[in-house]
Amino acid sequence: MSSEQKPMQYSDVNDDIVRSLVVTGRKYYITLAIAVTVMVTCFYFPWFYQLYYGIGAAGMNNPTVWGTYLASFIFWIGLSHSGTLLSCVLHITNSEWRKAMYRSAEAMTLFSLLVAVTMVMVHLGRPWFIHWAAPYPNQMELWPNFRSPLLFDVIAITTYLTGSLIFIYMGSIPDFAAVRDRTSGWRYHLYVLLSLGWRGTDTEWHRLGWAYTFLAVLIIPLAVSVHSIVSWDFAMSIVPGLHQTIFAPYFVVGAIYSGTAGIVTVMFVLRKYMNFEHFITKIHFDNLGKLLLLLSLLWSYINILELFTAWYGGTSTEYEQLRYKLTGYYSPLYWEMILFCAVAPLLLISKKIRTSFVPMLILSIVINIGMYTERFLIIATTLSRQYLPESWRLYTPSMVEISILVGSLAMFITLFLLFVKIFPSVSIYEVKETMPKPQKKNGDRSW
Amino acid sequence: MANVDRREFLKLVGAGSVGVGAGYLLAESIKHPVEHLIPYSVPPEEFSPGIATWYNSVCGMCPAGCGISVRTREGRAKKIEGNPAHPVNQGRLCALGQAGLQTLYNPDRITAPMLLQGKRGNDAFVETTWKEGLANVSGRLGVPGVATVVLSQGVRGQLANLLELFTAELGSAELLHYDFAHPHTLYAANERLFGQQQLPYYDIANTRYLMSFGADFLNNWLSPVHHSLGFGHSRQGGDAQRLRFVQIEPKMSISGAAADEWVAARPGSEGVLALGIAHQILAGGRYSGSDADDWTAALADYSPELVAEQSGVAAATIVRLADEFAQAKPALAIGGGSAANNSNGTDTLVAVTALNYLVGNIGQAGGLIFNPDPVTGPSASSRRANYEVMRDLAEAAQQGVVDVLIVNNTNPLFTLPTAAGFKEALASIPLIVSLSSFMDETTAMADVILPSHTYLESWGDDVPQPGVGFSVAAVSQPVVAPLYNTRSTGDILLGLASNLGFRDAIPWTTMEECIKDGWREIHARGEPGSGDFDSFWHDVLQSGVWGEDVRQQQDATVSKEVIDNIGVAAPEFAGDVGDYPFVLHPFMSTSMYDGRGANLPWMQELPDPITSVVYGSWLEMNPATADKMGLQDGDLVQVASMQGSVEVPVVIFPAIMPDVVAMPIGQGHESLGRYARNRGANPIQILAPVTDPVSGALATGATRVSVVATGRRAPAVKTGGESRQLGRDIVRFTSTTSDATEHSAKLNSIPISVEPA
Amino acid sequence: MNVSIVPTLRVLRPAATVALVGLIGIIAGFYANATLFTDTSPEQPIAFSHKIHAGDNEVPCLYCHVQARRSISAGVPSVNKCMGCHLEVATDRPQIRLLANYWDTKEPIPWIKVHDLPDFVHFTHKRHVQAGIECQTCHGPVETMAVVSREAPLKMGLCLNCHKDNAVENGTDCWTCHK
Repeated sequence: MSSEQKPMQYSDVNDDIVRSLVVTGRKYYITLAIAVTVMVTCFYFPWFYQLYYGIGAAGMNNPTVWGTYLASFIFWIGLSHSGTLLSCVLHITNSEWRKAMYRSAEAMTLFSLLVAVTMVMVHLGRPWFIHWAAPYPNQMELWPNFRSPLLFDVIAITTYLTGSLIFIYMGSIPDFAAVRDRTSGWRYHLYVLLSLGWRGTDTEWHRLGWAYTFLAVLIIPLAVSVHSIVSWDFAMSIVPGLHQTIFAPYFVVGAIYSGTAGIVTVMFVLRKYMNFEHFITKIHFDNLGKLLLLLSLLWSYINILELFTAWYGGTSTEYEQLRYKLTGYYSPLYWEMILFCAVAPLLLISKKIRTSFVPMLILSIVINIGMYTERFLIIATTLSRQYLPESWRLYTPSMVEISILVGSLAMFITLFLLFVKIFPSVSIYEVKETMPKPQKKNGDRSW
Repeated sequence: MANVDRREFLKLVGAGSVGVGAGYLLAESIKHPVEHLIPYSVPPEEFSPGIATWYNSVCGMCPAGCGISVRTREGRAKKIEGNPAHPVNQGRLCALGQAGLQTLYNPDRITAPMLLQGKRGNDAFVETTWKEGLANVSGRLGVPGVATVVLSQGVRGQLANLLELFTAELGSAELLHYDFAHPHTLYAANERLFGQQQLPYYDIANTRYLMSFGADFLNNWLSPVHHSLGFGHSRQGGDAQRLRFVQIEPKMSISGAAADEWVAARPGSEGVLALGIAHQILAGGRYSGSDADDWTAALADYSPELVAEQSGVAAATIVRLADEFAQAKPALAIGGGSAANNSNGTDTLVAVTALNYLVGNIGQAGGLIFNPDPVTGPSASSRRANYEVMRDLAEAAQQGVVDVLIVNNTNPLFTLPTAAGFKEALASIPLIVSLSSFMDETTAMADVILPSHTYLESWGDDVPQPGVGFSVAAVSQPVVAPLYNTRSTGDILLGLASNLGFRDAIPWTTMEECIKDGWREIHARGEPGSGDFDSFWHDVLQSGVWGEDVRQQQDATVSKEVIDNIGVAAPEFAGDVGDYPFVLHPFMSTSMYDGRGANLPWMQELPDPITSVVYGSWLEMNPATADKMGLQDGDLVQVASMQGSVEVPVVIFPAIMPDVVAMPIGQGHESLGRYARNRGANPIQILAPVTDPVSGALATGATRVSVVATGRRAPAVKTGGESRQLGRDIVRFTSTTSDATEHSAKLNSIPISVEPA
Repeated sequence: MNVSIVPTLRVLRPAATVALVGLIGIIAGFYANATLFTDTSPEQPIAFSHKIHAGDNEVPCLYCHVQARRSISAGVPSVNKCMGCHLEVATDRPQIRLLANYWDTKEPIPWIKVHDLPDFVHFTHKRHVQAGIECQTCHGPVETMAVVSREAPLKMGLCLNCHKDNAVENGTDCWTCHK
């Protein structure tokens, strides 16, 4: 299956991807074991500790009532934005280079959303009442507050989760069928169920294409609305530094930005560890790099806007927020964020960097660190410097919070590892569309 | 139906059973826990379940004597409110009064008589019976020629009478009332000027200009609840002009924070300042009494210019204050705090009180009104032990003169400086008996503990101090049945008296009886035919207070001798300025009073109203001073006087003179209970033994200290953060002088660290 | 090319049956507990019958539950209230002998609470009784009950509905009941 000697065949695609599902090396099991262990020790155990001792173990207190958990929540929601959103946008614009990576990107979305939901669960003081966030008729005859963006969150994220799940599942049906036809044993039965009896007829392809595009078009505004709504968790407060209309576009842009960087990271890993070198190529990285550069410039622009409005607005509270951000206790983090998210990505102007795999990996991780810092700063700096100087306090993340952040990363990796063994992580049929059609021998009806 | 083989059948049965079990447990988990309804066998007559019963009584948390109404449910005290009928507090109550509940239900109460079975100070107490405890003490007291000292907290009313009788019957015994906060110098000043034995009533409610020389009257000077009521009344104006209030002190107190004008005067110079104002009143021709010439002669040396030099207050300000004070009608001058507690305390207060005389407000509304003698209990406070008396007592004890010391709810080991030598004195006293309810420092040194009830479980009576201008008295009744095997102080004394055979002088068997007997005299003051004693008693208990419009003669003549001797000497400070650059200003905190509030968690968590510190002690320091010394908020410093040192964190405090540092009193207990122990520091212990020679009172403001950084940090826990506005218009103010703007700009530019290093 | 799902279903059938049986078990167990071992009508230490007292003998509610009109809790009659009649009446019955035993030993009868509200709910009997609400409104037809059973679910919706229907002043304010 080397692509240098002869051009890739359709059958090669099938073989490679089915092999990625069926053949499991020791490395995989070790990685999975490590991920699960880290998840249990760094996420679940500290969470149980926090459940026992109370939310104070998380270091949250007045006035910084939101801390690392919310920063992580927004980070994960942000990461979720690129997968499905990018996949949909690129689908509608008929881009070629999306075809190899969109499946994994959509999976990234799904799992980021799930991890984000666990973040919500963890940051609650009374998590056993989490179901009260949902509007269901109850014995108390009370509805949750429909004016609150926190409720919009519940609805938006649930919808986005459902939509993404349907989207990725639907798009995978032909692939499930392809795998079904090439496996046996329990896998066969699993894929029989998952592929819903797909036969590959024209009618089915036609319906799938139509439904897929339909959903893709719907998901774009949905994704934009989800992160806008998440941004309104902050923008609808009156805290200086948070109460800004720029937040919705800021967050959406930031989400796509960090999500795209996340895709680059995932693609690098997939490419290396699943032997997908000929599916995920320099072209993909090049295009992702261009997208990252664009988003980085947009992000920088919005940041400048924020600084400018805080300065020329002249209100003492906004000005204090600005001053504190740039020169206060957390200012090293602020400048790190600027360096990582506004300055470093300028390297993407160079095509050489864009088409080199390891520099792209490093840059994508750097961007995500910077973006996590951005989310953290949004919460920590603004809540530490609210209206009354009398209630200014510092906030530092506690060990529990940091550990849970690490554990959530491990949870994401675990879910992704499980994913690559069940879903074909590169879309078989779409990749085939980028390759020349196979020559048919006379009478040969097999593919 | 598919064929089910045995294996599958067993699997199904297993799954089914597990399911049923899980479902059962699920249903079980959402059931309510079983609760019982326990009825009475025979219902009590005193209360109905679910319906609150209110009892009127008298608060015992500080000497002011406010009336309280306590809400009880099913025999438990739930909430203490002020008694609306009581003229002192009129339905209000301070935080310490509210915390009476925590005194009653405190887990560290002494629950039964104790005997020491080992070395003193090792907490080697063993429970005993009342019979044995009383017998133990009366046995020792009954030995002929034994020298006894009864050292009680300041009590009034029938209990004070009983103490007098008891001590008299003992023979070779001395009775001393010792309270840290007793205003010895104020009593001395009023006696010197007007020959009054009682403290006067300061009619803040009706005055139009209040000049306070260090008196923290809204916080804990004399009767803070009553003063607060009056302050509110005079501020709200009604149909009259709104009160103008000037506070003069070296460090801003809570009352000072409410002032229209706050004047910083050097510590100990308030008296001179008062005389400067008096000089100006006479110079301005605003005093037209017949002795004006005598006054002018006596005040010749106190021109505003000279006074300005000594006090640090500008001469123009002195002149202006004097003019304003004299022109407002009525105006009132009060003194307290550090002004009253320097080595020239009495003279200072004489000067302050003289101001009232000079504006002619003696006996007038809005002025200083003499109080009648108390209708119950001894009228004179001659047994009030000042510092010199306590020091002499300690010396005498160290010489072995004292055989028995009976301590009643006072804690001299905590409230006396170490220089007094009281600890050594205790070691030399063979028998120490304590009647306290709590294991405070002094009680921890006792041999026999006969624990008393708290005030909420006891019968008592009281006359508020200071009075409100007319005769008032109140009865304190138990609001709950006694919680533990304790007895009321009076009953303990009666038990001892009975054992010692003092039947003739002390015939009562219970304190209730004793009080009722005493109140027959009060009943007799009423109109004849106004009803029998029992219905009178019932009415007093129900309303919680008794009053009579009997006023004192307001004879305000000051003798020429007194006028001629008017003068205030420069204050003495212990410690050389070079070694000890700062004057220590200890102040009674809102919550702790003199330390008694430290074992009450509500008082520990009550933020200091100005610095918002909780659960600890601190040292207030001027920001410019701190900047010069390189100290930040939260740095742990060692505060050392010639007598010793304590370690406390620094709190940057703008409203204090640069060479003054202030520390709250009340923390730093070694004993008293779990909430009080090992928390903060006690500034009293490092105070120098400087006294006011006239009254013998301890000059608490006369100690110089040095402040040295320890290099460690221990930031005080605060509920508030930043104290400046930083450009926000939260509190708007305009300054009348450019000085103030410049000063505040300078203040705002000094970096005050809000975040930890 | 059609792929049949039947073989897969056949493979899954055993597991599915087990799961189904398990699910049915959970539901059965739940409802068995809820109906057979319900806590709406617990067994009391003495088989006191409201039917006999409040029903047949027409003893008014407030005769025994004295505090209902003036206190936050209606209260349960003290043992001496029962003995007021039962020193003479029906002294041979075994339940009355149980009662007499409690009286003689001065032990209170440990009744099990049927109408229990959580501690964060502040319910005042006084207000409701004085508003003219019949006891039966919330407690059901107690005078027909041989054993007291909880008729009303005592959930927040019950309180809110009544407060809304009767336009109670501040009735829907959280602080009214959750002070």
